[in-house]
Amino acid sequence: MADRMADKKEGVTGFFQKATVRVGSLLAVVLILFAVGRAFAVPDSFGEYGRYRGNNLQENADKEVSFTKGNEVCRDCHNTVFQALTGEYHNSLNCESCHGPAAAHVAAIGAETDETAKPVEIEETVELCSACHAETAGRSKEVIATVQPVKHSGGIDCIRCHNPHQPRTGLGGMRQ
Amino acid sequence: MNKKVPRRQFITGACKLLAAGLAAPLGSLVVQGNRSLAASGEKSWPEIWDGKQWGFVVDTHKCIGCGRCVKACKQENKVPMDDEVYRTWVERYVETSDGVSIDSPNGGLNFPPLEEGGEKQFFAPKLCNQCEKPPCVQVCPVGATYRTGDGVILVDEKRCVGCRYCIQACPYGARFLHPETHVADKCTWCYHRVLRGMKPACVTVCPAGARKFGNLGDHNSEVAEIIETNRVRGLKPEKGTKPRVFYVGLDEVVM
Repeated sequence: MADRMADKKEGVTGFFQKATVRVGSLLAVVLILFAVGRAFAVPDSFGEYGRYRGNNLQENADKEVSFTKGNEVCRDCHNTVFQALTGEYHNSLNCESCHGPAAAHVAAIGAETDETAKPVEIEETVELCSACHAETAGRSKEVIATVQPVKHSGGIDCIRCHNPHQPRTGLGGMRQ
Repeated sequence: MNKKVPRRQFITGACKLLAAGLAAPLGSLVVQGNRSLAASGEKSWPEIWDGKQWGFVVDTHKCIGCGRCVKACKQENKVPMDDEVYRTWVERYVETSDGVSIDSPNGGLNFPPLEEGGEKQFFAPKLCNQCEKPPCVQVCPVGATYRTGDGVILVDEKRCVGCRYCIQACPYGARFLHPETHVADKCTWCYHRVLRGMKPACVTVCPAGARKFGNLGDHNSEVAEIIETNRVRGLKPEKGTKPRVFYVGLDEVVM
């Protein structure tokens, strides 16, 4: 009976020396370590809009463009070409489809660089024109005029006869 | 040694410790979730996304397989020209009595002239379908790929660990490991251009008008009108991914 009384007296202090305490504090330490570790591991802005870094949206948005918005950008300087194109088959095409990306060319306007003078790159014309106009399986004649380049001209540069901006009216071109 | 602890004290004490232990990490979670970072420019992202659901239409009747889209895409998005990885590519289907042959040499960038034809032959441009239910996003273990509020799946190049799980998960084969950055890469419908009010590079350069891009949320947009007035279908509907690329006049053999 005396023993039991002593036990009861020591109950409170005894409690904090027990296995419960050791297990409990271990759990608390683990959880706190987890919280601290997580704070370091999870990057800034993660979870702002969903399970990803919100800041990455801006990083994606900031990527540079290579192609311009469209022909209206080219028209500002190269209006004569657009006049030549009026009513031509190639009128509906985008300049950059053949001439390649021009954003750097446009950005260089007014800048003190040689870029403005640099013409936008153009490939070998047989290869370039063949991309659309060479006969190949799958390319329907109903959709586009196609030829066999070697049969058609011996494979010489298309530009020697055809003006790409006025393909119908050039020397040797399909006269209307 | 064997001092007894009353059950009630044991339980209440244990509960208190547990509560204290949980409070710290939970508190940090809440703070993390609410942390608001500097919004981009003047508009917040939810404001930018508001009312926009981007969509893509491919008209296979119009495609002439010139490969300008494949080339422009690589130039715009800095994918090495000589590596056989593509954000968009063009497949050629030639059907004969022996069956269907499919090829896409160099991603369709330059189909060689004068190939043997078949009874039925056509091109099918492919690109990321920007699924409404994207499996690639679901499987990413680090949250490096995600769907924006206006419906485009992007990749966080800094976060991606290059585990290739998403590449396997994509039913359309639209993802690849970038040979230079060694992280997952994919078509983003040129999200950086779209945010600047431009169209994706492939749409911009397509000489045949086979690729259309616009806002499905706006019923007056070209893409919405095409979808509402034509028979269209997405690829692999049985996968339940709800693709946002719609094909007009696509043959049944294309999957």
